[in-house]
Amino acid sequence: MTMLRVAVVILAFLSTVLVFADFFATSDPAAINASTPYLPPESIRFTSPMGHFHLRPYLVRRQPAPGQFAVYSKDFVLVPLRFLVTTGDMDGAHLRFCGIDNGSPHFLGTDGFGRDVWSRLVYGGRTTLAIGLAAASAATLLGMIVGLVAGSAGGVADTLLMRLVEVMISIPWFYLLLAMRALLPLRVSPWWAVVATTALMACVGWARPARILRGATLAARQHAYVTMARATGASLWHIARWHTLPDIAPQAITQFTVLLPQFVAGEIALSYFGLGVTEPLVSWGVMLTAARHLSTIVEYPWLMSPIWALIPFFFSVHLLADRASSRRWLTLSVFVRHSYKSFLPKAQGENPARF
Amino acid sequence: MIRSLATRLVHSLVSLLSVSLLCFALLRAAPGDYFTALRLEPGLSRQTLRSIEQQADPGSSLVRRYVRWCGAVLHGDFGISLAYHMPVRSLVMDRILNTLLLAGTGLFLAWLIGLIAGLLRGQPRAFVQMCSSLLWSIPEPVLALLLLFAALRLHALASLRIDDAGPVTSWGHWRNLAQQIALPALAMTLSYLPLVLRHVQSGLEAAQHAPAVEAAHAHGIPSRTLLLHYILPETANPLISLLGLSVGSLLSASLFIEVLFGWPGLGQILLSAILMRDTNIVVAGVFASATILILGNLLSDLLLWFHDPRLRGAAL
Repeated sequence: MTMLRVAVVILAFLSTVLVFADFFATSDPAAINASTPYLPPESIRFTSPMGHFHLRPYLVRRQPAPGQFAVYSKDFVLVPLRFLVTTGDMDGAHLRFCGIDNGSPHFLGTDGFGRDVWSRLVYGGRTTLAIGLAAASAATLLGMIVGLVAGSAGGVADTLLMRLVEVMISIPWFYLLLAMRALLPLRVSPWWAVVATTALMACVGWARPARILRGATLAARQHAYVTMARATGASLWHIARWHTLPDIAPQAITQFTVLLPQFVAGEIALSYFGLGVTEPLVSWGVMLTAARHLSTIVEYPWLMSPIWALIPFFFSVHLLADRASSRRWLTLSVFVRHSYKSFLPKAQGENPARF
Repeated sequence: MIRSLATRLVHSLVSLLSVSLLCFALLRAAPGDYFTALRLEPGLSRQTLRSIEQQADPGSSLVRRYVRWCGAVLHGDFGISLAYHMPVRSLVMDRILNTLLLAGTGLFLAWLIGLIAGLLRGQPRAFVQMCSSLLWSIPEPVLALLLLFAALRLHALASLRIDDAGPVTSWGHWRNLAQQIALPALAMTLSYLPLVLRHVQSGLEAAQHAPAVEAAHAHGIPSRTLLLHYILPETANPLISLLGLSVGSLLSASLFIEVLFGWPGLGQILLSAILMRDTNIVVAGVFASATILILGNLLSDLLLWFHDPRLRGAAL
């Protein structure tokens, strides 16, 4: 249970930082600073320039060595950190959680264009997780509809849909994803790239949930109350909506938690290949393209920082997925059932067969 | 008995046929083929262009094209790669073997380690559990990048050195191959291991409480015999199914790992083909990967069939 709590805290922290990216970033993620390329991460000290202890943290700032590229002097100046500052960027003024008087702090260093890695991490995570969440939701929803229709209708529709599902499943998903990507133009505008990445992953990923949820639908239709509802003349749609759907919703959630990490990894791989999110926008996959040059990995390891955000994220999602699929932890599914119940009109909710 | 096998075989063939339809649709639907780039070339005259186009694709009806394409595919002919000016088959064949080699090595190592580690009890088991859940929470691309990072730090990257390997029969060739496959195979193993380990552990746990095993235990059968002749066969069924089911994810993982470590496999050529808009190679790659997956499933079904006589009567 403690592990579960850790996972929830990690996810809550991540989502807070990513949702309020404007606040937690320290500068504009696209702001180029040609004078400080590949600046190593700047540390913090609690001593003032005079050597006294201070509650206010000071930023250790090194100046670029004159005439050399990406080389910084050994000696440094201590710059006081200010909290809750307002910075003016290209896209207007932002309230930031901290900053310094001139320029901005680089807690995780800068990349080759002098862009702040921490800010890019925060904004990039927003893009990556938004794509992952949207794609996983869309794929689960699509899979749920297909599974529900195939399981409820049966007959020709069932056979046809399941044939399609089998074709999709008999191609490794990443190969299929790349093949579908090959149908789109290589270079699309950045926003279209985000939409295309999301849509492609949803198109590729719906098949497995559809198959599993069809099975769940068939199982759910075995219940006595479904037989009863059918005997009283309830329509196919009524049974699917009010009896089967609430029954398969927990399994749909499990499928979602399986798809989410897969799609986040998919975004990273696609963007790494240059087929996903592209440059003016930032995502974790875009940031990791720095690793295309082997020398970068060794010389500027801080550019790989999305890794250290991805691992806790995957850890928590996997843990939650495990708990969601085992019977011990049903809070989420119970929650879903309750939310369904609250949608139901009283008479139907209490007494679905209407005896 | 034979009938269930035949059903299975027919099933695989139907899947393959449907995949071929999808691939053909892909081939037709791809916008902006190789010629789009050629058309923009100012040095090429219209006539030359048309003759190249005709050479590549003499027009006819869609159905006839599909049938002809299927016939060609049956002969292993996927057309000519327009970017490399070579038959796709000769380009892709070696790549398939390389991918199979990499995936096979990863598969073998992961199952070996998984089975051994799954049998551990007590203190080591807790350690294994911890390592496994840690590995489980590292996504494949990140795992590959981390390994690459570690290898670069330790100056252990053999794939950067391209030295003369010598003939296939020589010792140097095999040593070179081992050096080059070590890192990608390690990445494959590590990304696949947690899945295997989880299933092995839960399978063993379930098998220990199976009636047959408990009865054997009550009869006083020694623990080694119990493990080898009762528990492991009891565990095997779900594990064999897992083997078949995980081929797809194994291939997907190998795609990124191949590209990252420069392993000349199917994934790498597929990616470069996509970037060069060489649809013939893309289709061949997708078709080959689907074939491997379907064959993997068939193989695991066959294994099940051999292993468990109870399943022979049932329509698998």
